[in-house]
Amino acid sequence: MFTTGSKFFYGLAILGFIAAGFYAVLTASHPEGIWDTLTGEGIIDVLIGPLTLGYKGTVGDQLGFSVLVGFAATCASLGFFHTAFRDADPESVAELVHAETVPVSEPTGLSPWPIVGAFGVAVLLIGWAASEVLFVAGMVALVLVGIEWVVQAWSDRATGDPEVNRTIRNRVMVPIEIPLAIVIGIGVVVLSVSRVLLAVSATAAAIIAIVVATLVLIVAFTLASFPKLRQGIIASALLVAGVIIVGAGIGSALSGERDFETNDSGQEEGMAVVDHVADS
Amino acid sequence: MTITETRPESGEVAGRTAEETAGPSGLYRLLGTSDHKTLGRLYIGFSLMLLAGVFTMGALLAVDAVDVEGNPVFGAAIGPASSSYLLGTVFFALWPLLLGLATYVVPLQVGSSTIAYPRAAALALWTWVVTTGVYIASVVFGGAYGGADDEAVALSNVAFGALVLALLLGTLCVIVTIISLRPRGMKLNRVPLFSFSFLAAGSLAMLTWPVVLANVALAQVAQFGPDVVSETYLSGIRWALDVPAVYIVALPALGIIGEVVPVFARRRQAHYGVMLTGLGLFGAFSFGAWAQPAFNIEVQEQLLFAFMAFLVALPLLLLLGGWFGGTLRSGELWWRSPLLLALAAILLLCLGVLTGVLRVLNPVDMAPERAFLAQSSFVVTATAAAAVAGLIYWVPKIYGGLFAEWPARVVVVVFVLGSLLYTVPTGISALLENNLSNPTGPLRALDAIVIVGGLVLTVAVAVSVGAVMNAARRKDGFIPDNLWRASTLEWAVGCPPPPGSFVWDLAPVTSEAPLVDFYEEEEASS
Repeated sequence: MFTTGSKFFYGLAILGFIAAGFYAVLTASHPEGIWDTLTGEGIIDVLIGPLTLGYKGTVGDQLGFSVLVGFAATCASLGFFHTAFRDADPESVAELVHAETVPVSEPTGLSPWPIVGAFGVAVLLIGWAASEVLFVAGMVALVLVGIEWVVQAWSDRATGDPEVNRTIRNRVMVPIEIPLAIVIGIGVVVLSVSRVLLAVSATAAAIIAIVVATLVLIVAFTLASFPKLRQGIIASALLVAGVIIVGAGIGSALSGERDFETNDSGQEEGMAVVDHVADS
Repeated sequence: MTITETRPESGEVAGRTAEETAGPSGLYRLLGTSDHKTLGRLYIGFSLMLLAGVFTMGALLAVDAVDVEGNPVFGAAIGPASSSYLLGTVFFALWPLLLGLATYVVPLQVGSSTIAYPRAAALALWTWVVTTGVYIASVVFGGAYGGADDEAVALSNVAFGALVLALLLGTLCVIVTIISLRPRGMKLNRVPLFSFSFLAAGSLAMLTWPVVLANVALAQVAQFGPDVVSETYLSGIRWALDVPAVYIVALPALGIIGEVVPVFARRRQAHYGVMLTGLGLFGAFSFGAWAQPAFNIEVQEQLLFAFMAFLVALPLLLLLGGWFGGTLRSGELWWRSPLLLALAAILLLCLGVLTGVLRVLNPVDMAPERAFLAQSSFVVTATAAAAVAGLIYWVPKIYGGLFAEWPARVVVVVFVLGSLLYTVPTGISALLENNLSNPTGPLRALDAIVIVGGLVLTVAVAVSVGAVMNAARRKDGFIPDNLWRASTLEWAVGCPPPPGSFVWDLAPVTSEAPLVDFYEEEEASS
């Protein structure tokens, strides 16, 4: 009746309820001492409290009691789901796939999302400590990883053929992934390079902008000239370039923007020139 | 009973993973893998490097204690260096090393071709790697608990929190594997000792370390600046490295010793149920989330604390009785390096528990901080010794080559020497500091020995890494599936295991030593 996983969660649920009961009794205020309360008239109040989940009677520390009851209720719910869906029950699995014997479970294949998710966590952490922009970027990265992860997990189990599963996944995700990847790629490069340009001096910013633009031109020219270049080399070069640009962007964001000179009206000099040109 | 049903011809792909039968190769296979064997190897490789770094840092901290001609290594940064060292021993090096061994070995021990939630295990590994990098970077920029830079300290705090979360996720995958993926007949009382110890230690970690996480979150949300974050470390995090919670990390080490001792004594483990009970009790008494100075500043002077430090010695005695009174006494001892290191680990752990008892009973007025460091060093070196013993024992299974016996013996000698030089002087200095009228000279001499010990331990770990890499590279031709004639299921598959590991159906398990059952039955029938 009870499946493997459900026993574990039911056990935890029972433990949680017992712990909540003890906690409620032990933290209740006992002017005459806990022993006298438990052997005297106060016993009814003290016992009814946890039994009615605090509706009647006395519960001591309500926050701790609520946490423990919440833990127990969550575990009981998880246990119920495991029982209902017959986890790790060989007969149920065999019945589901109309097989006489239990099929060999197909372990999962390659997935880039765990490592991408780990880097998303790193960006989130750095943002949490130092920069709101990076925090939001990390959050967005983790949400995207979550979506990709769920779709891949679904497609992995769509049929028994990994090749068909890959096709199904690509049919759903590629029309979304390619435009999104282009937008994110451009956004990340623009954001990172802009952080670098804002962090260095005006002269250095101009030189860096020219060098980066020239490099992009040279790389694009090279790639176009050698169409048979191995994909691995292109991917590695782009990866290295991406890591350098993003790293430089994060470093520059952490070091902050340079001091901008302002005129008497508090406007930055560059903006004043723009205003002057616009006026004229 | 037979251990296998019909074993398939070579080339059979029944249990192969999708990634093992198709897909790209090279770097993407490494970065995108969710195969527990690759993940385990990556954990082991990274954590061994960090372990060497931690021991080096311990030596450098001792240099500052000696204070040679007023030229300290860390100087004003001694606080962050010290907290990073202590956290590093458990969360950056030892638990990941044990988790790596468990990620590789536990699914095989319980007869499973995969780990539970394989992609979550991959996420845990990479998050641990990345957050470790972020933490180290934050330390360089003036962070860590005790640091002065606002943003860098905050970054260290959140990176440490994410690191603990990642380790818990990886631990959860191993625990669920033990609970849910066991073969028919393998009840909990027949689970191999290493898997059982990891189940107990992992469950304790799941109960204990979220409290550390809560304190990390509180420090981050409160945003009172680096001083408050550092205060949170002292009152709300450091207890996880102290008695009794620090013994959580020693529990899988006991499991490894439990695997090694019967194999090299060439007999079944005597009183298996008692050994499981001993491991379970050791785990139960290691629960230490209640002993937080944040909520009870005098907790370490109270009777309950002393009682718990004393209580944890009892299951250890039970385990020692099982090994020395039963298995080793009546076995034919095979003095190979894993057994020697396992015995060294037992000695160091006993010294650690003894120091813990002396510390709380305090009959000789031990200096509190040095006593804490001494006990921590004993537990850390004992766990490291057991982990390296496990590595030498399982190297054929993990890397497909042999850890040659002579470098293994070098590792044993250097490791034991380094451990004693690293730990014993700290223990002696804890005894002397409050009992000598002028302790400065002797304490400096003892700290100088600790420097040597830390460096020797670094060399031991480096030699281990070299020998493992050599084993992985060399491939010694045919290695028998069950090289040591061990009793657990990981030795029923090849060295290293083929893709999918168990590509045939396992027969029901009827005892805690299924392979010994198989050999005995074969011998009886022939």
